[in-house]
Amino acid sequence: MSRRAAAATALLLLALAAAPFGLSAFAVATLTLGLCYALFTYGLDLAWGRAGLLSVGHAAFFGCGAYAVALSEEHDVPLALALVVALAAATGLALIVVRIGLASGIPDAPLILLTLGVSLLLQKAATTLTPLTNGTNGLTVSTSDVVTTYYRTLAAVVVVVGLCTWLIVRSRFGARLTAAARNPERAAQSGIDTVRVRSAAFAASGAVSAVAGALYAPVAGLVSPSVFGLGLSTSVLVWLALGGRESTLGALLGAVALTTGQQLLGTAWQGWYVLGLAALFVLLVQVVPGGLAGLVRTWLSGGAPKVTLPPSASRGGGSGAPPAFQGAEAPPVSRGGRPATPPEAGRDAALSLRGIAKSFGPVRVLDGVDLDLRPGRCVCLIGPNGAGKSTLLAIVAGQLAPDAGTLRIFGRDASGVPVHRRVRMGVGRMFQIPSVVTELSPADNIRLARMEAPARAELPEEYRDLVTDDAAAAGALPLADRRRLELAMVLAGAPRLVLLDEPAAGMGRQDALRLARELRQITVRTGCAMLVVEHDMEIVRELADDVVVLHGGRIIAHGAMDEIVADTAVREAYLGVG
Amino acid sequence: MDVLLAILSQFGLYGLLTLGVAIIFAALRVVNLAQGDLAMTGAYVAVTATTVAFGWRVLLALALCVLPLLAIERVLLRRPLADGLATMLVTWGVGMALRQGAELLFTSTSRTVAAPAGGTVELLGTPYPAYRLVSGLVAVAVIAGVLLVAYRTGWGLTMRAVADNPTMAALLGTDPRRMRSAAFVIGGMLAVLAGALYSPLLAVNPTMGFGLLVPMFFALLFSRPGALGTAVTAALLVAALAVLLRTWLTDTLADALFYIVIIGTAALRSRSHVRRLLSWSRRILSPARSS
Repeated sequence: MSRRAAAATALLLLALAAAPFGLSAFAVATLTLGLCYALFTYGLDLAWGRAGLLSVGHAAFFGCGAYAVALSEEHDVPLALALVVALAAATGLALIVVRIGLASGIPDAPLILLTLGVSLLLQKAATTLTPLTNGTNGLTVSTSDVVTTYYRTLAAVVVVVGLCTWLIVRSRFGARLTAAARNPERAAQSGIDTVRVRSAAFAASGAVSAVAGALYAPVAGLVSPSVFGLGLSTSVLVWLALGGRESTLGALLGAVALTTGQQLLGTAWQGWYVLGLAALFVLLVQVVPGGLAGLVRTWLSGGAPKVTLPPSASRGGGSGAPPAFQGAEAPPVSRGGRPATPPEAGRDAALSLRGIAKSFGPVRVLDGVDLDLRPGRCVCLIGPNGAGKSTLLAIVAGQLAPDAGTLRIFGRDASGVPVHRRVRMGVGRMFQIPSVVTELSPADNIRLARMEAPARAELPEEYRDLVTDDAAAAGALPLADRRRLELAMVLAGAPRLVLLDEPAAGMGRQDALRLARELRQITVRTGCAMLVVEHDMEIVRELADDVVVLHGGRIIAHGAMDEIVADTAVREAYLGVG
Repeated sequence: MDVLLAILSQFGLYGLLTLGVAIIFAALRVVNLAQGDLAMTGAYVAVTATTVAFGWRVLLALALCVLPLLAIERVLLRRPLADGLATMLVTWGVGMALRQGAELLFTSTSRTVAAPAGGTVELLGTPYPAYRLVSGLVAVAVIAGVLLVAYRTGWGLTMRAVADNPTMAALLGTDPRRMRSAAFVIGGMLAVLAGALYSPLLAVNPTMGFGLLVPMFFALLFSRPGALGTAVTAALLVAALAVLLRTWLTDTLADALFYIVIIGTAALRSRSHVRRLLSWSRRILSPARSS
């Protein structure tokens, strides 16, 4: 696949380099314009395709670049300075926009709104600041001859796309981005700072778009406020939707083809052409969301997953690192590698909770929970529905912040530490509904988990098959296998504190008991601590060293299974009898 | 007084649009990106059908839009799309088609339509254009009516139930699909009404929808999903901000400041420490049991 892609790229570059020799001046000019728009489309792909962040006002960034060139010529500012300022402005704007957008749980609507607002605002500014920008008439930009412009544009496009491919798409950053855009929850739980990765991609998208705008200015010869316009923003969405997201060639070819079509049709039919594009867009989004590239990919790949991690992802995170796990007796090692301070009360615990409280509105879900969990121990958390078990797990993992209380993980205060940093401290988590990156193959999922792992962990024998399973996307697996994969991902992350939310839910009796025995073995072998929420008492009996009963937000009993069964408070909580 | 009337007029426009988009969002979980373009369509009906009286033109616009809206919902938004984003993009495409269609039919030059009630009325000593007052009052009456229906009738309760939890509502015997169609048609009609009603006050051109989309979106951003009352309140705040800035400053500066204030507020609201501060202040104001 990659060899074929390389050959296709080389052929395409050769054809592009030879193009001016066989084409008329008009055709070369059209192709140059197409290349500018192609780079713009590629820029949008970094945001909408790679980072999964839709922008409907991407012309805002394009216009920054175009106006930088025009203004530098009009007001005799060095071009390089203007370009640097434009790039900084586009990147800065993109960062502000994406940070605000990602701060909300579902970034789609805020991002649409903000990008729309920013591009309208810039267009308004360009229209009204007449002394600077010459208003609606725009600024003229001097052009050189067609062929020189063509080669300059081509060279810039090749350099920018090459750089982005190397730095953003094919790198480990690209692997992180792939996961963060598809399943932020699992990506964070694999140690990836999803907000940072996605914001960086969006900022890069803004910068690439600005470069495209800067290339566009001398090609068009005129820069008017419409370069910020929503017409252009919409066109670029259509080009990308047709070409196909997350495909470099698709984005570039989609833009070149549609731009050429528009230029060839001439002004009389322009209106109808755009109307046709609108209809095409609605159709594409509904019927072929992957665009042409998606169709080709489906055709080439057969049943294999259409999304893969770049090869750089398989360079493991902790190669040559110290042994994966500390034994139960070994003191925890702090991040700097030096031994942690001698144990004090509660300091040698893998997890230590003191007075954890959490309310949702008026409902007090957790009301002062104290809990210590030592390495190598497995504690099962039981309790009636609504007791606060899942909330407690989410607080330990970092998805929720407690209202009060302290939380220490391996002796370090972790109250304000975000999810992905807790993962690097050694926390691994399985969700109640299995959360894996469904578009990637099982092997890629494991690679992802290993990428950010603090140390290299060998998987137990019964999970080894997943490491090489590249045949189909993980989303095609049945529920039980997806759960198995999620557990394998957690284990591949070399965790020292494992949090499991009903690991046996939806499994048959035999499978569930086997899973319990496997988990038990893992704690023994690796010395990791385990905190498990479980309803099934048979599994609890198989799995737990200690059982903790949560009721009404408080721990009402803590001890071995037999003590718990005999405890009157527990019987009262479960059965309502003394 | 002048300012208050201007706010009333602006609120009528933004309120209708925001309420419409909030209804659609509640029932379909989709931000209707074509809302501004629907208003544009309504305005063009009012501009072109000059043979009948203005009031009839508004009703005509409303009557004409029902079937197309129903068709859009049935044909384009009904498909089980993979994610909400795809549906949102479909509405973007619909808006794009409407815009381009208007440009082909009417060219991109702005048109105006004469106000049906000319002259000014004297209000507490301030002269004010009569039609601005009338349109504002009609819009506010419609908004109040819709809210009343939403919060005081069985149909409104059903709609809010579907908005809150479609699966549960379906289990309780509501047909969520019918509710979605109805909500889309009503939300779209509110936009068409806004466009037609305010056409004498606006420059009618194919891209007028964009200008309306942004304040409407801001209002939606500050409202709670499914809570129509908060959407209307947010629209009022946005209208007041826009009008006040415009009375003090020049147009461009006012617009720029408007965006900056709104985006700044959104940014501040999203910062976790500000959110924490807010929740603290709430806790201090209503002291509960503290551990």
